[in-house]
Amino acid sequence: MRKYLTRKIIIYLITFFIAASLDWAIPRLMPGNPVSLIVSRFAQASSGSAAQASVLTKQMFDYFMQAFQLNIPWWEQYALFWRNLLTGNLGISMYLYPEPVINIILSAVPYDILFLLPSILLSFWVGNRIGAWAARSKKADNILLPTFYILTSVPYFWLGILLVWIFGTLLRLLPMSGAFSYSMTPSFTFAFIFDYLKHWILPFLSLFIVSLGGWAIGMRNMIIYELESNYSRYMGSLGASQRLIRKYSYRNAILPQITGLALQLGTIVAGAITTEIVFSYPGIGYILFEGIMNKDYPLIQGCFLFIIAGVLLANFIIDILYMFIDPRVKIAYTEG
Amino acid sequence: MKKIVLAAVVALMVASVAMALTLPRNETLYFGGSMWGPLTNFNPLNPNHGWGVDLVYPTLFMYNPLTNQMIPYLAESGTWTSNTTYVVKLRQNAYWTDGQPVTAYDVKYTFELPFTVNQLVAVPSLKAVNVINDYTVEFVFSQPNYPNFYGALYGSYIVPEHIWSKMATSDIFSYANLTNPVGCGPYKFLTYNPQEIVLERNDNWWGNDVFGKPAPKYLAELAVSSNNVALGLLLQGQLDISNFYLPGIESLIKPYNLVAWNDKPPYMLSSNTALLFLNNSVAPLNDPQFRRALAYAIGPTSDLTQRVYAGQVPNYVDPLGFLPIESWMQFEDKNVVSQYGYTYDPAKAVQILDQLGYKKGPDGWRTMPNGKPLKLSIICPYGWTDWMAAERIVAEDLQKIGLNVTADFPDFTTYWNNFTSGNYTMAINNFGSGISMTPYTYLYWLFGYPVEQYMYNGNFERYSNPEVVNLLNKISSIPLDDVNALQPLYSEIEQIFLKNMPVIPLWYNGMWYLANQSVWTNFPNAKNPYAFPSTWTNNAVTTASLYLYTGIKPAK
Repeated sequence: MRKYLTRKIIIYLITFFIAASLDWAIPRLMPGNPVSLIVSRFAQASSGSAAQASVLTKQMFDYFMQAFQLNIPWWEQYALFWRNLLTGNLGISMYLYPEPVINIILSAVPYDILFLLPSILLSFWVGNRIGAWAARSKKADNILLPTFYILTSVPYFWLGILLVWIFGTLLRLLPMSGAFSYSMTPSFTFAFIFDYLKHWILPFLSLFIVSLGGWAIGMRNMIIYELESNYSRYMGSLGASQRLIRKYSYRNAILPQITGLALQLGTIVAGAITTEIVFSYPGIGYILFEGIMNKDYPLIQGCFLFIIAGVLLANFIIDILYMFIDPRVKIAYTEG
Repeated sequence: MKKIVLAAVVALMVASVAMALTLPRNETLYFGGSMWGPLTNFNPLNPNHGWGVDLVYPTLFMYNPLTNQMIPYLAESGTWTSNTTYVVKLRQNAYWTDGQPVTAYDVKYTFELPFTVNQLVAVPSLKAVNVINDYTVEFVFSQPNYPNFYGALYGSYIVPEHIWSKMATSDIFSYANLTNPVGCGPYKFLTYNPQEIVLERNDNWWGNDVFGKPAPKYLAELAVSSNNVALGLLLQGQLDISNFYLPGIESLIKPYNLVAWNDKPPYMLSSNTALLFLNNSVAPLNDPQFRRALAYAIGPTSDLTQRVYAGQVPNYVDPLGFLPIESWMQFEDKNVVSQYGYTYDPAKAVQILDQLGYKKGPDGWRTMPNGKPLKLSIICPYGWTDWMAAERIVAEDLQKIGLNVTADFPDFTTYWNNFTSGNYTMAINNFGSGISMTPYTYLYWLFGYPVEQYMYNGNFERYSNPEVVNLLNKISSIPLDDVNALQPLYSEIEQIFLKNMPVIPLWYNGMWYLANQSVWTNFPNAKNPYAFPSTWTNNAVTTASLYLYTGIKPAK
């Protein structure tokens, strides 16, 4: 047990180090200087009195180069990055200057979690159930499999626009955009929670429906494979009931699905960029997208750090869970 | 224990019900078009501040481009008492929301801040701002730069000295100012969240008697990430005013009874001019004759706007790119334009190119006179869909006269880096051509900056002509209303412009404006032009839009 954990933790630390270093390097490999971009916005903003801008942007450029420490050698920047990271400092956003990156992420993450967590978990649960059912019923399979294939290959944003059109424009049942009504301010009240839920349904559905298909197909194929495997046949020849055999094969089939789930859960903080843009949803996906478009190094780094940490943490938890759901893992480490 | 927890939860719920804010629809004006991400600062001194700063921090004057008038705002009057001294008398009844009066010390503090805060820019050649008495302040210049000073009079938000002077100098520029900002405008900063900024009317505003009381109790600027969302909100009546560019909207104006500035094409007022920048430092674009040939091929009246904007903007552009507003047009010399101007005339363009020796090579494209291949490219930022469409049309126009021109769409940062470093041949831009009180701002943006390695502010085409700079300097030292002294100077620049065509005007970009009348009515339009219909923040004339908020009326 301890051996298993120690080994896992070491692997995770190494992975984190490499991933975080890449996270630092990749934004900086993009062509173009982010500071000149900020300066361009200042130049635009002050266009009414054009001649003043001359001094402005030169001073601005130097000011921001220094403020974001882009005027020092790369290895110093890299060392600084680790020092800041280990002291919990993610820096200041360039695009949303002067807001600290951590505040931006923390203000957006709750929306992502409340909207992505239910859609991932529910689609996982429902998808696996339906997939398992399809695997053992030829008739259902003939209808469901093509449906799943269509669902899983539908782009999220396309389904999102379709849902907005049907429920927002045609039927006018549900709001089309935002996480809550523009007349509300977030508060812990029944009115707000009700309003929030109304806005939550469409983005939720668009993700839920699409991911449902993927899980169901995966499960269906795994179950068919497991039902054909030697242990199932052996159980069958021993006279075990179909129900029992299905129960065992389901337990085996779900293992690779859980790994997939872990990866999905880990990316929750990354948000769902296209869905968020379609619904004008104030999640982190949209902010990350803007960060990339604006070459906002600290913001991109911050978002990806959350993703890295999220994926690693989710995997770690799944690794531990594996010991309980798959006794073979536990045995391998306790006896070996 | 359980009971205590339960009681705490109930108490929290009750408290939050009391604190929750729901904006009543019939008292709230919703609009959008200048907020693309969450609000990060409400600092009027930081040019990148969030929307609404102009409604919380008034300026000394407002400028109304529709009437070409300066309207006293915090000022009561302003006069030149000598060639180098301008005296502003302030209104004596103006108060900050914390009860302190707005005084000459606030004005002095605001205008002198750039002397100590080095990220801010001072008015050129301003020597000092002197307090004469509590409500009189004097600006002293070595030699006034009139266009810039007037720009500052209607563009500089006045901040309260008694609050800002307590801050460390190094914090002033980056101060976020998001908790209870103290202003003296018609609205107060109320709240913000990732989706919107909300201002609340200042019911005790000193200006209610002077300018009228704004009609909406709440103003909410919405952050909308895509045009289709903005369109849906507008058509459903959840958005009252849209300052978004909405492609294809022209067919929906009548069916949805929307208010546009004009009730027939062109529906929109013009806000700025988009131009084709030709890199004057590279061959063959360093040849004025070659550039003029391009101007004939593109022309001021091609079908570009019709194909891209379908009636939303005018179907012509001024050959000089002057905006169709009085403050600029009064200085356009019609004789110069008719004598040296150009028309849409591809045959003439072909003739010029043939004469210059740009002969067609074996592949059908023209080559350099020495036979070397000639390849040009136009750039605009990827994702700016209307610009991309326009760029393709311009490229086609140039291909028709035998030039090998490609339309390229780098992402914005690459575009901006190449554009400012001169690493391009042709590019579309409009950043400095916005409405102002004088065409000087536009011409200075185009030609005023000396050519350097990086050009961030203007003269992106790298046109170097000391004569033009000299003329611009002369213009800046003449009062804006001295038309007789200014006209010959402008005429001369216009002649040089048209003879050399360092840039080619392409189209008038719209002041995108549409309003839904289901909750509010009496929106300004061409027949009732009481206010400039802009809620944008980066427009120096936004303060005059105060009249928009006092002019609209509840629908019921």
